[in-house]
Amino acid sequence: MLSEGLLDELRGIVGAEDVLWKRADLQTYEYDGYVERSLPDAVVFVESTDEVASVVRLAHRENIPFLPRGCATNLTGATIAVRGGLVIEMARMRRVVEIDLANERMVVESGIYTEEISAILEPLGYYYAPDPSSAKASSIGGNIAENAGGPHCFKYGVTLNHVIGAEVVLPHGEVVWLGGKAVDLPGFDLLGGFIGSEGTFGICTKAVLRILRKAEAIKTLLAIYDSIDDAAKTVTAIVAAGMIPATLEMMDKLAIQAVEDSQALGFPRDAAAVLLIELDGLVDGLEDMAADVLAMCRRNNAREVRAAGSEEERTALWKGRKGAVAAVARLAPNFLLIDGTVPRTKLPDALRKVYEIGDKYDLRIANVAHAGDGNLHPFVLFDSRISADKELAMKAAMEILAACVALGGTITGEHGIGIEKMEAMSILFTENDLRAQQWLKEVFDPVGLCNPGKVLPARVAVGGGAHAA
Amino acid sequence: MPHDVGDVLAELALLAPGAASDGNPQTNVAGLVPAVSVSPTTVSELGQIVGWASRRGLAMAALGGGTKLGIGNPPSRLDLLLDMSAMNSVTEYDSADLVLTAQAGVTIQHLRSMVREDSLVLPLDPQSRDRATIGGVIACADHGPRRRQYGGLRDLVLGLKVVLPDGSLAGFGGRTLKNVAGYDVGRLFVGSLGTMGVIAEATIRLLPVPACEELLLVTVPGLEQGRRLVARILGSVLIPSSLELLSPACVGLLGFDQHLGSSDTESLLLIALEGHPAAVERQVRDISAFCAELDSGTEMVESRRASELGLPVDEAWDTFAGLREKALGNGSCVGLRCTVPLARVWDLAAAAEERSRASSVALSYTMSCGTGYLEAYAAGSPADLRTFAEGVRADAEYREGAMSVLDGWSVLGEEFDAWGGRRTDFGLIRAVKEKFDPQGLMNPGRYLGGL
Amino acid sequence: MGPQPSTTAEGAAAATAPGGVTELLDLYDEVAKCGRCGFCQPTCPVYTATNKEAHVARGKNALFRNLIEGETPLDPDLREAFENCLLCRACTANCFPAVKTDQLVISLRETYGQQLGRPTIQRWIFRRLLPHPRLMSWIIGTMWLGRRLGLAGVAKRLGLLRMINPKLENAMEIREEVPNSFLRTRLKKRASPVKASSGLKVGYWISCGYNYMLPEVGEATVDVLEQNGIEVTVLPNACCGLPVYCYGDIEGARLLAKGNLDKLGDLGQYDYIVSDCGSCSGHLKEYADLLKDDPEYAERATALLGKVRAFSELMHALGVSVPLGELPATVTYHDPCHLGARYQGIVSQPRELIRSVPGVDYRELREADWCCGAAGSYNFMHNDISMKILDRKTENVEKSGADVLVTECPSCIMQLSLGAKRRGLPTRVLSVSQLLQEAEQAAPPAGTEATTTAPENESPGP
Repeated sequence: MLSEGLLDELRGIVGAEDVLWKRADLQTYEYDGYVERSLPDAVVFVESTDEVASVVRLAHRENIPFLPRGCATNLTGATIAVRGGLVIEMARMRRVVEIDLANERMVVESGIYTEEISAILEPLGYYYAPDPSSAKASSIGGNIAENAGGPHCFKYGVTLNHVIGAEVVLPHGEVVWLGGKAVDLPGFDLLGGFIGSEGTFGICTKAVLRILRKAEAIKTLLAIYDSIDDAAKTVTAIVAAGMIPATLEMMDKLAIQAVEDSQALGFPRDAAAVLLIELDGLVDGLEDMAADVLAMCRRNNAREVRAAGSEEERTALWKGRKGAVAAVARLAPNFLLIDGTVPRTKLPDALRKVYEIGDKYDLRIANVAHAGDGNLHPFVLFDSRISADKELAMKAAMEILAACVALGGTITGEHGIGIEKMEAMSILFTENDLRAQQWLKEVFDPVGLCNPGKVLPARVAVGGGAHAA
Repeated sequence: MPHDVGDVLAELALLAPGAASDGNPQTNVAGLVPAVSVSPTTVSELGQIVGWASRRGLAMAALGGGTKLGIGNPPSRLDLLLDMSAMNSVTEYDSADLVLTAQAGVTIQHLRSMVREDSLVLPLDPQSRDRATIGGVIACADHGPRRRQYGGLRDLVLGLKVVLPDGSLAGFGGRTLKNVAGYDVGRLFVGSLGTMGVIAEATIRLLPVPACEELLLVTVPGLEQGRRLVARILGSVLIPSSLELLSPACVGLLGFDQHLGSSDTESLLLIALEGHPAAVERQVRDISAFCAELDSGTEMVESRRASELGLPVDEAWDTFAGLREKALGNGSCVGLRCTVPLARVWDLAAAAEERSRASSVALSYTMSCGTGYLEAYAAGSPADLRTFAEGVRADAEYREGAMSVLDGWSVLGEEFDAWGGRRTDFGLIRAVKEKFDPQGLMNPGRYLGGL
Repeated sequence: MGPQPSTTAEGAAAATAPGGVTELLDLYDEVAKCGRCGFCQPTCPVYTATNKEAHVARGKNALFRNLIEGETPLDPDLREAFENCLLCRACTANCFPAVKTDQLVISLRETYGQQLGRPTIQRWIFRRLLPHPRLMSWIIGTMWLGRRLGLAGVAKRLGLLRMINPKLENAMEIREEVPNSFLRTRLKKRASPVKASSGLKVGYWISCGYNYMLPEVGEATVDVLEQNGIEVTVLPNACCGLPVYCYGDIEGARLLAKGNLDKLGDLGQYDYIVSDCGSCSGHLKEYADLLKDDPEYAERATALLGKVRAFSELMHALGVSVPLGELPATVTYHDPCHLGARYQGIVSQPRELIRSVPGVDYRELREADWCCGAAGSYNFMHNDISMKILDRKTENVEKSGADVLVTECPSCIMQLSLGAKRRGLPTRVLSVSQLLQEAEQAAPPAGTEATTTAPENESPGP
C-alpha cells in the first residue's frame, strides 16, 4: 500500500486521473499473457520522458519497486509486479518523433504499436522489418525489452538488429541515450545489452529504428507434407542452394487439423506438416527461384504445392499460419506456448521429443515453428482452472526446454525468461555465466528496484564485483 | 612490471606448461612494450593464466594478428601480453546449420577459405584478413565494406566464450540465430578492445555463397556526384552489398587507377552486387542508367564491371583488404575512424577535405556510404595533424557521430583524447568497467575516458 | 488424451471459491477461454482512446473471472469496467478463442442491477416509459418544445441541467436541432399508402431515433419503398428494447419484446418487417433468442426472425426497380455495429446499393466498421471518451475525401454529423434510404427518357 502522501506526489507528476490505486483497478494490472498474477500498489500513466523520470526518481527515493508496461502481451510474466510497487504504463507515449529516410532511420516513442510503424512507413516505400506475431498489439518498447523475433528473422534478424539507439530512463531517474543514429558508436554496446533485458535495466522512452526499403517483389509458396522430416529436408535443401528465404514457417498435424476445422483451407487433415515459404527481393529471377523451391519441395515428397500469383492468393496462403494460434486456442480453454530453439537441422529431432513428452504426460501439443531458425512453438493445451492440469503442462514445458538445450539449442528464442523460465536458466548457464549477467544488471540497477524478480534466479550472488579468484 | 621477469616466467611455466612464454617480446602496443608474453593453447590455459595474472596485479592485453595495435589511447600499463596465436583451432563447424565456432586466434582468411569450400561465406571482410583474428576483429569492431549486406558484428556473433579479468570462464549466447535467454552480456564485448576480459571463442553465423557476384567500379569526379548517385541507389529497390568510396589517393595507392585509366582527381565507388544472375544484371543496368542521369558534359560518372577491366572480383576485394596497411605505412602516420548517420558521410568527407587543405595535411580516405563509416589516413606535421584531427572529430560529433583514433596517437600528442566527447552513457560505461575489471588490469588506459 | 477441459458449469463450480458471484457461473467457461494475450487492445475503440486495461476486453474478462472466483467483490468500483463498453464486438472478432465479452458485460450489468439496484429514473424509463409510445411522444414532445423555445438553453446557462445530471448537457450537444413533428405523425399524414405494384407488403418498424430526432430519414425510407412498388404499413411498435437489453435489464427487454409482438399482431399479413435502423433490425432478430424459453412467445419470435430485414438487406435483395438519376459525389460508408459484420453480417449490400447510383465515386472508408462511439447513450454518459472515439472516425472520414457519408442507424447519423461539425468538414451524413431517394429524385421525369414502365405502374412521376 502506498501512503496517501506518495499517491498525491504521483498525482502531482501525472495528474490525478492518471494514478490508479483502487483494488478493482489494480486487479486489471496484476496479469499479463503469462499465467501468474501479482497486485501492484499503483499504476501510473505517463505521457513524456520527463514524467517517466520523475516517477522513477520518486520510486528510487522511496525504495519502491517499479516496472515499465507497454501492452503486456508478453508470455512470460515480464510485466507482473511480483514485488508490488508501481506499474508505469507507457502506452500513451506513442508519438512519431522523426522519419529520416535519407539516413534510413525513424525515431518513435516506445509505446507505439510495432505494426503501426510499418503502416506509417508503407506509403513512403519503407518498413520496419521485425514483425513478431504480436506486432499489431505490442509496443516497440516491449519488443525491445524482449528482443522480439517473428517469422522474418531468418533473413532479416531480430529486434536487436534493427534498433540502434534508445533514450532510456535509468532506475535512479537519470535520462541517457544509448547508441544513436550512427552505427558502432565507440564504447561498450550497452544498447545491445539493454535490448532483451526484459524491462529490468531501465525504461526505454524513445527508440531509433533502422528502416528498410520495401522489397520490390514477394513470392509466397506453400507445401504440404506427409512427414516432418521431409519438410525439414526441404528447408535444408533451400539453404544449401544458397537461398535465404524471408519466411520459412512450419505447422504440424494437430495445428493443421485445428486450422482446417476453423477455416477450411483445403489442408488434408492427415498431413504431417505444412511449410510456408516466402522469397523476396528484386523481381528479376524471383520466379526462377520460386520454381527451384517448388522443385525442391516435390523432390522431398511434398504431397501438394501451392504458389501465390497475386496479393489475394498470398493472403490466402498466409491465412492458415496467421489463423494457427486462433485455431489452436479453440482446442482447449488455455495453452502454454513454449519457445525452445534448436539448431535448424535439429528441428525434426526436437519435434519428436515434444511428441514423446506429450505422450508421456498425456497432453495434446500442437506445433508451429519458425523452421528457418529452429525456433519451435509447441502449444501445450490445458485448462488453467484445474491446477493438476496446469502443473502437468508446466512440467512438460520444462522437459521440452531441457530437450532443446540438449540438442544444442536454448530455452527461449523470442519470448524471454521473465518469471516463467527463471528456474530453467541453470539448464543453460553455469554459475559464472549467471554471475556475469548479474554484474550487468547491477551496472544498470545497483539497488534492484527495476522490475525485480525476473530473469535471474534469486540464488545468484548479489552485489559486489569481480573477486580475486 | 611489479615483479621480476624471471619469477614471472618461472611461475608461468609451472602454471601453463604448454604455453610458450617470452621474456623479451618485441610487440609495441601503441607505444608500450610489455615485459612478458605468453601463448596459451587452450581456453582453460588462458583462464588459468589470466586468473594468476590478476592475482599478481599484472596489466594484460590480448594480441591477435597485431593489425590494430594503434587503436585508442596508449596503455597506462602493460606487463603481460596474451598472444592468442596458438589458440587457432576451429572448435565446431556445421555447414548445414550455417554456424561455426572458432578460437579467438584463428585468422579471418583461414575461416573464409575454410567455409568457401562448402559454398559458404564468412560475412566478415575487414582489413588485413590474412593476419587479423576473429577475436581481434570482434574486440575492435572492425567491419569491412560489405557490412551493409552482411550486417554488423552485433548481428553476426551468435555466442562468445570469454575469460573474465578474474580468470573465470563465462559463456554468452549460444549457437542459434535466436536466443533471448538472460542478459546479453556478450554484446558489450564487441568493440570493447579487450577491456572487459579476453575473448576466447566466438560463434559466428555464416551465409551461403550467392549464385552470382559482381563488382562495379564507378569513377566519380567529385563528392557531389557520388552523393547523388548513392542517394539514387539507396532510394531505389536495388540491394547493393557494398557502396565503398575510395578517395583519389586511395585509388592510386591500390593501383585501381591503372585498371580504370582514371585521373588522379577521380574517386572510385566499389559497388558489390550479389544474388540471382538476373537480379545482378538488372542492378548493373539500373546503376549504369543512374550514372548516365548524372553525366553533365565533361563530368562523367562511369560504371564498369570488374570483369570488363580484367580484375576478378575476389582479387579486387583482396587488394582492398590491404589498403589500411598500405596507407598507414605510406607516410600517413595517423588513422582516424569516423561513424555518422549514413547520409551525412558526404558532408563529413567534404569537410575533412577542406580541413586537410587548410592545415596542409595530406589526406586519403575510404567511406562506406551505405553504413556511414569514414576511415581517414593523414600525413603532416604533428601540430597540423592535431588541428586536423580535432576538426574532423568536431565535424563528426556535430553530425551525431563520433571519431576515434585508429593509429598514431603518439603523433597527436598526450592530451589528445582518442575517443572524443563523452556521451550521456559514459557513466554506465565506467560502471561496467569497474564491475568487470575492478583492478583495472585489462588493457588499462586505452579505452574511453582513459578506462 | 489427458484431463478433458471442463465444458460444464458443474465441473467449473468445483474450481470456484466461496464468495464468488454464482449468478455469473454460466459464463465461466466463456471467460476461462481468455488467455490474456491482449490482442483485443488495438481493436477496442474505448481502450484506444484511454489505454486503460479496465476498458478493454481482457480487463473486463479478468474482473469477471475474479467475481466468479471470489477475488473481487461486486461493488461500484466495477462500474468503470462494465459501463465503458460499446458492445461493438470488435474484441470478439479479433480474439483467438472468440470470447464473447459483450455477453459477459451485459450479464454483469444484469447482475449488478439486480443486486445493487438501478437508478430510479432508469427503471422508470425502461419499464414505464419505453413500452408506451404515446406517453413517450408526449413527454419528448414537451421537451422538444422547451428546446425550441430556448428554455433548455436557459436551463443550461443557469446550470440547472448540470444539477440534475451533468450528462444532460452533453446529451443536448449531440444534436442542435430537434424536429417539430415526429416521424409517426408525419407518416400518418402522408398520402394514403400506394398500392403495391410489386405485390409486396411490408411492415415498417419505427425506430425511436428516427421518430424523435430524424424523421426525415424515416420519410425517405418509406418513400423509397413505396416508389419501388412496395406496400408499406407503419407498425404500431414501441421501442425495440435494445437500450434496455444493453443496460442489462434483460427482464425489461423481454417485456418490451413481448409487448411488441402483441402490438404487431398477425405477422402473416406482411412479407417482411423492415427497419432502416441497424440497431432495431439487429435486436428484432434477437427476439427469438431472448424469448426462446417463453412457451407463449417463442414461436412468434421465431416467426418474426424469419420476416425481419434491414432496409439495405431488403432493397439489395429485391433490386431497385425505379430509375436512379446521377449524383456526382464522392461517397463513403460507415458500418453501424449492429448492422455490420459482427452482428447481422450485412456488409456488402449497403455498399452495392451506393455504388449502383450513377455518378457516385465510392471510396472505402478506413476502419469503416470501427464504432463511431455513440453506442446508444454512451456518447452522453461518457462524453469525453465518446468524443475521442469519434475523432478517430472523423479523421478517417476526412482522409477519404468524401462529400457524403452514408450509414444506416440514427445514433450513428447523429454522432457522425457531430463529428463532421467538430472537425469543420462539409461532409453530409445520410442514410442509405436518403441517398436512394435523392437519386430517385434526380432521375429525369418519366416520359422524357425512354424508360420502360410496367403497365400496372400507376404511380405518377415525381
